[in-house]
Amino acid sequence: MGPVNVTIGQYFPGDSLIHRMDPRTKLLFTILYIVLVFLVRDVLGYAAVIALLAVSAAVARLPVKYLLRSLKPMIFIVVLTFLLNLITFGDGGVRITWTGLLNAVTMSLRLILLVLGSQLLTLTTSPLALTDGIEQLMRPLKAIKFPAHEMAMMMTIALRFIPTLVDETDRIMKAQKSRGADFESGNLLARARALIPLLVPLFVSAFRRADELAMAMEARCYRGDAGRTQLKQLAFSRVDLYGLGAAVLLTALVAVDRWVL
Amino acid sequence: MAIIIEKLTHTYMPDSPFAATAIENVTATIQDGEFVGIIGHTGSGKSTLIQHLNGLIKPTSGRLEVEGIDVTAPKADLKTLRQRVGLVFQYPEHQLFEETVEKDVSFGPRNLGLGAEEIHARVERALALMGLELGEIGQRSPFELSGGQRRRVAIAGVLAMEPSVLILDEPSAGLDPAARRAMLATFTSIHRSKGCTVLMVSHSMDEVARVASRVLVMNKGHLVMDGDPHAVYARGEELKAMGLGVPAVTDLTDRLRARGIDVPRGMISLAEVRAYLDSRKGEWAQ
Repeated sequence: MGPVNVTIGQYFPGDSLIHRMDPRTKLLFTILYIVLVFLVRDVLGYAAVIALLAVSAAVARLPVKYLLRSLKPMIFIVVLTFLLNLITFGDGGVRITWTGLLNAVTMSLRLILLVLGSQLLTLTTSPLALTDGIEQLMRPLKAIKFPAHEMAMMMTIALRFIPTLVDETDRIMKAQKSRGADFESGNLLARARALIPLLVPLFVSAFRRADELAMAMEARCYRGDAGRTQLKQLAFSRVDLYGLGAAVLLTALVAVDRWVL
Repeated sequence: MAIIIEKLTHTYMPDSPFAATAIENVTATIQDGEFVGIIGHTGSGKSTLIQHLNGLIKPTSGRLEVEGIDVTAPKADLKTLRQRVGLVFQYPEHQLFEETVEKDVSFGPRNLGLGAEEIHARVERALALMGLELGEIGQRSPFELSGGQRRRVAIAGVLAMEPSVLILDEPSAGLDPAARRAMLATFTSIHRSKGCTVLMVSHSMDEVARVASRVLVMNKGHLVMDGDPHAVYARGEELKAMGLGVPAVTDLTDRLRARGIDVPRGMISLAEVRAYLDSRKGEWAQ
C-alpha cells in the first residue's frame, strides 16, 4: 500500500535490441566488458571501451541522465581513489608526479566505466530476468552440489520484498513518530536507541511475511528445483549470437594486443 | 480550536516521472467535538489527507491549521501537534515493540517527557478506555495477546498521549463482526466521554452511518461530498457511480422506493425506517 513508488533495482522498461537480449548474453557480455576495462592500457583502448558503452546505451535508448545518476553514490569512492593514486608519499614528504596523475586518471576512469557498464545491465534487464539468467548460467555448478536454483529463488524473493519492506518501514516510522518518537535528533547513541521502536516491529513483520510466503509456496506444491518448468523459456536469438561474438572478438583482440604484440 | 483545511494539495515525488497527485484542492473545516467519517476508495487520498493532520507529510500547496498550529509554517511545533492529534494507523498492532504492554503504551507519554506517576496514570486510563486493565495485562508481552487485544493495546498507546483530536485509519479492518461492533462502541464512548474530535476513515458505509455526525467523501484525490450522513447517503446514485456503496438500510429504502413505496431518501438507521413505515401504516391499510 501507499503511493510511494519504489522501483525494484533500477529497471528502465523499454523494447530495444538490448532490452530484448537474453539475460545470459547480457551477463556474459558484462563479464567480458569488465575484463576489457582492466585489460586496456592506452588511449585507443579506452576509446574503444567508451565507444562500446556509448553505442550500447544509445541502442538501449537510455536517457543519459539516468545512466549518470548511478554515479552519484560513487563520487566519494572515485574522488578518494583519485587522490590516493595522485599523491605519492616519498622521501621528504608528499609529492605529485606525472606517473601518479596518470595512475589516478586511469583508476578513476576504470571505476566509472565499471559502474556504468554494470548499470547498463541492471537498467535494461528486469530483476526477474536477471536472476533467471544467473540461475541458468550457474546450472553447470550443480555438478558440484552448488544450489543454483535456491540461490536464484532467494535473490528473487529478496528483490520482491524490498519495496514491501520500504513501505512497511515508512508506515511504522510514521506511526511511531505520531507517538512522539524522534528519529532525527540526538547523538549517535540516542539515535541508535530510537531505532528500536522501528526495528522490532519490522523484524516481527518480516518473519510473519516469510512464514506466510513459505506456507503459500508449499500450498502450491513448491519443492525446489525438482521437476519445475518455466513459463518464459530463455532462448538465444541471432542478436545474442552476434553480440556475444563481437564481445568475444573485441576481448580477444585486446588480449592479443596486450600479451602477444 | 478547529481543523482548518484550505485548498490542500499533495503531490508525491514532484518533478519526477513518478509524480502523482494524491489530493487536490481539498477544503474543509472541522469543528471541535465532531465525529467525522471519511470514506473513499483505496487510493482516493484519505490516508494522505489524514497524515497531513499531524504533520507527517507536508502539503505541496495550500494551508492547514490544526488546534491553533499552522502546520504549513516552516517551523511548526510538530511535537505539540502530535501530542494533540493522535493518529491510529491501519493495523496499529504492527507497531508494538516493547517487552510489556505497560512499557509499550507508555512510549508516547515517555516521549512527552512526563513524570513517572503521570505516565503510570495515563497508561492506566488509556488501557481502561480501550476496555483493558493495567493490573491484568500490564506485565504481559504484547506479542502473546490475541489479535483483537493487541490492536486495543496499540490504540491505547495513542490514547495515552491524551490527544484532543483522534484520527483512526480503518480501525476495525480485519476484525470479526462482534469485535468490529465492540471497537466502534469503544470509539463512540470515548468521543462522548472525552469530548474529543474524532475522524474515522472507513471502507464500510454502515460503520460510518452508525457513528459519524458528518461524512466526507473522497474520490480520486478530491473531496466530493461533505455533509451530514442523511444528506450524503441520499445521493446514493452518485456514490454508486464512484464505486462506493450505500449503507444496507439506505439500499433497502432505495429498493422500497423502486417498488413504489414512497420512503424518503437518506435514511440511515433501521429504527428511522421502521418509525416511518409505522407512521404510514394507517394509510396503507386502507
